[in-house]
Amino acid sequence: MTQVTLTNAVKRYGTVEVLHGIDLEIEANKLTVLLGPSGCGKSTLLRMIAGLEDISDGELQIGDRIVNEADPSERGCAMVFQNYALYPHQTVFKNMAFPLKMKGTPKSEIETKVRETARVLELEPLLDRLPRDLSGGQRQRVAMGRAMIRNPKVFLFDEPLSNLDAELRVKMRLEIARLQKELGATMIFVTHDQVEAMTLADNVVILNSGYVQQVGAPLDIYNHPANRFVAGFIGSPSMNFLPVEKVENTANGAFVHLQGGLKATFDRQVPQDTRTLGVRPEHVTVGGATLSIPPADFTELGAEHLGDRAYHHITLPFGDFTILQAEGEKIPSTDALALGFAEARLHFFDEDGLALTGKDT
Amino acid sequence: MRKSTRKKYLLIAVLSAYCLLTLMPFYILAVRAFTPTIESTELHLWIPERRDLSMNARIGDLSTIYNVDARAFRREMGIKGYLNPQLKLSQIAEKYEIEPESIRTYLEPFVQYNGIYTIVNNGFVRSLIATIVVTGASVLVGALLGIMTGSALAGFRRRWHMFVYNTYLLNMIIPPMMVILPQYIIITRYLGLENSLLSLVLLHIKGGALSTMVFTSYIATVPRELKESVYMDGGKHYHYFLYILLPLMGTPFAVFASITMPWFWNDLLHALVLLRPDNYTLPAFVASIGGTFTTNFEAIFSGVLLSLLPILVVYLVFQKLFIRSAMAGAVKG
Repeated sequence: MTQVTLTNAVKRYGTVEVLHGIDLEIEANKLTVLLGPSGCGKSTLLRMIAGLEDISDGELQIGDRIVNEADPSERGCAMVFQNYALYPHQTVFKNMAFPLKMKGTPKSEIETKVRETARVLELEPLLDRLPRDLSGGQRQRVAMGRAMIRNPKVFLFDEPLSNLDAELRVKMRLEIARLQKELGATMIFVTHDQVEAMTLADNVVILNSGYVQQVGAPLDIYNHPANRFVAGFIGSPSMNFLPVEKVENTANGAFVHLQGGLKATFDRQVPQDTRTLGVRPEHVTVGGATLSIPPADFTELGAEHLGDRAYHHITLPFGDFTILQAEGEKIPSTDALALGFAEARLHFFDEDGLALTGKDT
Repeated sequence: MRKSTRKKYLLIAVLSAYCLLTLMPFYILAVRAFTPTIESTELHLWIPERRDLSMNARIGDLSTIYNVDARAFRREMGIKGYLNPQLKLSQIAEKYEIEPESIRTYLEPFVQYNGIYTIVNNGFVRSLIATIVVTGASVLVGALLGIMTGSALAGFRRRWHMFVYNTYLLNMIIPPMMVILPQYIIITRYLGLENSLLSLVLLHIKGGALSTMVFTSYIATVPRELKESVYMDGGKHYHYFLYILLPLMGTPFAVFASITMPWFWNDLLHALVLLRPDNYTLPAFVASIGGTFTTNFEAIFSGVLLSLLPILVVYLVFQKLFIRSAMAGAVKG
C-alpha cells in the first residue's frame, strides 16, 4: 500500500519554471498514467519522483515518508527507461542481478531470484545473452525484470513502449497490465500516446505546460473533459471546436450563433456563457438537423479511409471540421451540408476554456 | 560481368602494390639489421653473405668495427697487461699461446650476427623492460585519467567544462621541444625525479589533450540513462564508473592506445634529456650506440628492428580491437 503524494511540487531550471506547483495524489496499487504532449513536464515529474531530478520546491511523499532529500535507491522505486538502459556489456542474467548485487545479496539468493523473475517474464532461455542479441520486446522484458527483482513499492515507466513496433506495443501493454494485477504494485507510467493511456490506466493525469489539467479515470476524462485542452488532446482525431458568438436559449431549445454567420439549432438548452462548442467527430452525423451549411461555405479537404470507417475533413468559415462516417458514405458537394450533433455528447467551454457542465443544462 | 572482374583484379593489384610500398621500409630495415657495417654503403635487397672471421684481422679493427670490447676479450683469453691493437689474431694466438680455436669461438658471434649480439650485450633487455614499463604505465594511467576527465566533461553541461577542455587542447599546440627545458627544471629541481622512469610517465600523461578528446566524445554517446539506472538500482557513482563505464571503454581505449603507444614507445627526446645512459629507454639506447668516430650501423639497425618487434606483437594481438576502433561510429553497435 504505497501511494505517492506531491504537494505543491515545483521544478525550476535556473529561472525557468517548468512545473508550477503540482498537487497530485497517486493512488496505491493502481496504474496511473501521466499523459501530455511533448515538453509538458511529465517526464520531469516522473524523474522527480524517482529522485533523478531535485525538487525545487514543495513536498514529495512516498508511502508515509517525505523523500525530498532521499537517494533514488532509498525511495523504493524502480524505473524502466524509454531506451531500456540495459548494461550493454552484461548478460541478461547479470543485468537482472545488478540491483541485488548493489544491495549485497548473497550469490545463491541472487541466482534463485533471477531465475524466478526470468520465469515470470519468460526470459529463461535468454539469460546468457547480451542485450544486443535481443529483440526490442525481449529487451523491454529484461528491463522490467531488472525493475521487478528488488520488489519495489513503486514502478516508474518512462515511455517504455515508444521504441516498439505497433504490434509488440499492444502485446507489451497487455503484459504490463497483467504484471500490475499480479504484483499489485503502484505503477506510474509516462506516455504521450493517448491510446496507451486509455487502455492501460486506472487513472490518467493530464499535464500541459507544467500544470495538471485533469485527473480521472480514462473514460471519465474522455466523456467529461475539464477544459478545452483536455477535450482537444484526448480522442483521435481530436474534437471539433466551434467558436460561438451568441447563445439564444428559447423555451424548448437554443440557437447558437457561430462565427462566420452559421446558426446551430438545438433541442436543448445551452449554457449562456458558452464561447466554444465542442463535438467529437463520432458524434456528428451527415443529414441531421443541427447545422445547415450552404455549398459555398464548405469545401472538403480530404478523407482518411480506415477500412470500415472514414474521417472526412472539411473547412468551414470558422476553421476545420472532422466528421466520422461509415466507409462509402459521402459528403455532398453541390447541396447544402446538413449536420446533426448528438446533443447529449456536446461540450461547452467558457471564455477561459473551462468546461461548463453541459450534462444538466 | 567480365568488366567488373577485371576491375576487381585491378583494385586488388593497386592495393597490394600500395601495401608493399608501405611495408618496403620495414623490409629494408630488416635486411640492414643483418648487413655488416663494412658493406653499409651498398644497397642490399637481400641479406649479404658473410665472410668468416679471418685470423689476419687486427684486434684493434675488430673492436672499432664490431664493438668487440678489448678489455673483455683480454680477460676472457687470460691476457695480462697491454694488448697491442695492431696485432693480428694469429699473432695474438702465437704470442700468448692461446688456441686459435678459442679465439675464433669467442669472436665468431661478433662477426656473424654482430648487430643483434652487440645490442643484446650492451643492455637491450634492460632498456626494453624500461620502455615497456614506461609505455604501459603511460597508456594505462593516461587512459584512466582520460576516462575520469571525460566522464566529468562529457556533454559539456556547464560553461566551465568547455573552458577546461579548451585548456587541454591548448596544450596540444605547444611544441614539446619549446617546453622541454622548463619541464626539465620542474622535474629535476622541484620533483627531484632525476634519471627516473617516472618522469617520463608524468610527461606522457600530463594534460592529456588526446585522451580527453577521445574519451569525452565517446562517453558523450553513452546514454545518460545507464548512469541513472545504476542510481535507481542502488549504486553510487563509483559503481557506475567501475561496473558500467570502464567496461564500455574498450573501443575508445583502443583508439587512444593505438595513437599514443607508438609515441610513447618511440619517445627519444625526453629520454635523452631526462635519463642517464644506465636508465635509457629503447630509442635513446639505440641512439647511444652510434659512436663519435665510428658508428656500427648494423647494431643500430638491429636495435631499431628489435625495438619494433614488441610493439608489432602488441598490434597483432590487439588487431581486432584496433579494427573495431576504426569502425567505431561507422555502424551502430
